[in-house]
Amino acid sequence: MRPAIFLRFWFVLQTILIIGIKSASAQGETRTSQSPRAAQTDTLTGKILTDRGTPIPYASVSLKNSTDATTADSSGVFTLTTNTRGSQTLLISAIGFKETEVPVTIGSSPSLSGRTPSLPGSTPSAPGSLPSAPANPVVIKLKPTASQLNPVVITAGIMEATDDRVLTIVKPVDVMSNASSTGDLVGAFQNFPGVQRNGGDQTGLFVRGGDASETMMILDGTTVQNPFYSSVPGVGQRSRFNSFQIKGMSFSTGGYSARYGQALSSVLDLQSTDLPEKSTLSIGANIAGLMIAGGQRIGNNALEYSGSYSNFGPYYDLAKTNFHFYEKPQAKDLSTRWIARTHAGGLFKLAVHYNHSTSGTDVIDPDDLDTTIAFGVHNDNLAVNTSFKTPLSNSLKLFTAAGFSTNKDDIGWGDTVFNRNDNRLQARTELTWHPGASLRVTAGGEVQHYRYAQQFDPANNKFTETLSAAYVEGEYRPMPRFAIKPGFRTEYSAILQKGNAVPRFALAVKTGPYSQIGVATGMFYQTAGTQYLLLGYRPNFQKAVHYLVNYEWIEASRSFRIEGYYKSYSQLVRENGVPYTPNPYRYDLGNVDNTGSGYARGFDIFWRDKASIRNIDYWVTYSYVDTKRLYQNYPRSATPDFVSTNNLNVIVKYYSDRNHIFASAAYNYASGRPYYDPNAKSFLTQRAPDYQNFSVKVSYLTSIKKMFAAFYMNVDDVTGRRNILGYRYSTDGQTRSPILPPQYMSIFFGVYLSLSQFKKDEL
Amino acid sequence: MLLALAAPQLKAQDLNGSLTDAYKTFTSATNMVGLMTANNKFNLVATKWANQWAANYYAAYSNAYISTKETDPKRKDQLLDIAENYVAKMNNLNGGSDESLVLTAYVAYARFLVDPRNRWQKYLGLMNANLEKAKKVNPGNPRIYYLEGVPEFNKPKLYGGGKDVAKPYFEKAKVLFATQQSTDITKPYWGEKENAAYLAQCND
Repeated sequence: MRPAIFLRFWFVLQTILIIGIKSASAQGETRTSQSPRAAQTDTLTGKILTDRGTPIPYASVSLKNSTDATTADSSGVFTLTTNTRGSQTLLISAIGFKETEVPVTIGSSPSLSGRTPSLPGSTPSAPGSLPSAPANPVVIKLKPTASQLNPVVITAGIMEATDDRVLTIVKPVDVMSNASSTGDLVGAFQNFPGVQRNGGDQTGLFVRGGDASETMMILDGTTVQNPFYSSVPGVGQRSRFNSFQIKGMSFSTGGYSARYGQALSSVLDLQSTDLPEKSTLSIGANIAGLMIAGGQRIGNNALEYSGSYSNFGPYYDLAKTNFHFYEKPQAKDLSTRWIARTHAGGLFKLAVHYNHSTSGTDVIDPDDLDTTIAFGVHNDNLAVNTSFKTPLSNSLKLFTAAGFSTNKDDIGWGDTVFNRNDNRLQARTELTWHPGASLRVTAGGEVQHYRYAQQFDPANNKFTETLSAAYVEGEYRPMPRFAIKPGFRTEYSAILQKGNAVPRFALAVKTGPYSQIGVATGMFYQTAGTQYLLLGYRPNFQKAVHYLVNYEWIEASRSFRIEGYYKSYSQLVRENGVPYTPNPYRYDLGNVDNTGSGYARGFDIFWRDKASIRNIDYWVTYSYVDTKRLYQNYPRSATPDFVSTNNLNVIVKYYSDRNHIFASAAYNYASGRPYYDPNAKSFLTQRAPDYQNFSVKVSYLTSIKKMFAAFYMNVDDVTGRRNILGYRYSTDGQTRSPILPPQYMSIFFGVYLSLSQFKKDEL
Repeated sequence: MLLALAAPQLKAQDLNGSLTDAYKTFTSATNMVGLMTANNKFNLVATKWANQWAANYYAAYSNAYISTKETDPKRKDQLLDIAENYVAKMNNLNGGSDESLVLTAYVAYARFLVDPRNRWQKYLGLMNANLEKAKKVNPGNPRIYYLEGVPEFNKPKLYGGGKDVAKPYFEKAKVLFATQQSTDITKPYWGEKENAAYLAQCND
């Protein structure tokens, strides 16, 4: 560049008053408010970028302690004109980014302007060049902030479906609205990562290599003694929960809270709905029954009620079953709830639920596969639970819950009649101290008193247990990106006259605005199954230790989660000195002790995308589990017959506002489960064919007069695939029969009507 | 090329003057640049007069309003994060007033709009609860009925919403808007134009 041109250029720069920016080391210069150029204006130009170099639009750029300000354009470029001089602080704020301060010197001499700026949070102009605003603006980089809707949350081992937090992987409505849930709340969780796909022959949730007894279900702080309808061999049963009364679900697949115990694998913690906004009345009819439900809001109180009658005869007639029901399943349900809000902001809930159900089917005689035995069950179940939570002060909250349930099964097994009866009385009280946003400590205790009795003439077996527990758990966020959750729980079993004490720990670290990693570990104890306690055996607690690590990335429209785990089992109950038999009703249990052990390890992946395809919301889960255990009457360590190594679920939902149609499709895959072949040299190494199912659900929403109406139809096993879930062998091992789902393709349809007419507000 | 925005500078004014200036920029904005320019002004005013109710009120209103015009859900929530911060400050200063309650309801409604299917339960409940409280404090506030009408207008007919249902709310708001003064910036008067537009659609 020739000197003359350089001087002309310099002159131009002077006339447009480009400001100089100097390094932080030069901040000590005094403010030149008495500058001879005070009457002139200076112009500061620059560009606002993310730390990755992407322009940030519409940032606010101002001088601190001044009203001189400007707004960057959509490319992040700004020009700030000011007549303030000397050392100043530039304040930059932008939506989604940390407010940043940058020291600047305005109105500096040409030589100063020519110096290379070196600013915290900024990238300087090229060394030696003049900071010509139009040609070479100062670049300032901002760091993103974490969204208030997505604070660091302990999530290792936990999938939450709640409306209380805005950014969660799933919402309560997601759980129920997928095609393969078949309207059952617990069944819907089979689409979650870590949960075993049940082909329809089993009852319960099988989580990460654990059997159904290792999953505990909680409703409003109380243990649900009988979460499922009484089972018939080979026919998986639905849960008793009314999905319309559930507002939140926290599903732990491991490393769960110290508030709970007595589950080696998993806890499903459900919260019922609070005070309804207004009175409602609705009716429903489907191929299997009728229902009516309503609620009356009276000030700060509400009374809800529901009743239903179901008869699965027409449903099973329409879809040919693989079983013969000599008595088609029927059920009568009655329930009521009272919800009250106190003036102090407390919330009281009382729920009563009664159910009577009957079912009878011909099951294959395990001793002679060519013949069947009639198996019938008549069940009566009553459950009462109540909870109350209230603030005691600004930082202290009280939560209490109590429950009572009684359950009676009258069972006919061929010509033999026997009955089972169990009841449970329980109470829980806890205090939560929450002095600020960063600390929460919960301490409490619970007592569970339960009794089981079984009369199988002439045997009459029973046991009574009182389990007491105390726990304390803290959640501390010393910084916005970091949270820890240590916990401690101790239990005492009256029947065993033994206690245990276990630590729990979890932490989470935010790795970005929408991502975090989490770790959880803990020890978990569970008493032996009822079949052992009923027969007078008193083995020690069974034990599991969980180790989990996860990575989670959640945005409003897309989310991803991967979690790896290792679970070690010890002190599992074993039956020694007896040959293996797959008969769950066996009586000869041999010498029972706690010499069993095992492990489960694997990983789960979850991906959900609500944005890429218009009107489509889909999610994919994949779970891998490698597990073996030596327990019960297993002769050697093996993968249990309820475990599929690979599970894949693809859920797709479509919603058309214009056509009022909601549709969901689900594809479920589970690799073949082990089955017992008495002729095989190895134990439980044979695998059934892979399970696959494709189901579709379509709902049409409309109005009839002033009533909201929803017509729905669910088709399961659309392709009519003949799934085989395993094989059952005769006692002599000479013949076998396949274990089949209760039915192949099935169709379920119905209508739901809301009779609550729209009421205009009092205008 | 530098696209310098000729944003008017916030001069050394008093609170009312600064708010009036920002509000003028806000109401005359025809695109996102204009709105964000106004928004930045409101934010600066709220920073300078942090203990003034009106300063926090308008900053919250502006951020929430712009969130409804923004198309990116992530940015919508980021704007509403800011709005909620100002709402918290505003409610600390005068939380029981009808205007505070109405604006709290408005911000809740804006949160709902980001993801209606997943947020209706929490945020529509929050909105309605605040509007009910506002009605008890001052049933003559037109923005209560305007905000009650909007969700009904947008709610599908089969869910009990639609134009016919929403119209009485807008009509009631119109009557009340006609009686309000629009001379004192610290006494909010926004919503009349929008209410009229909704009412016109109801009459179509």
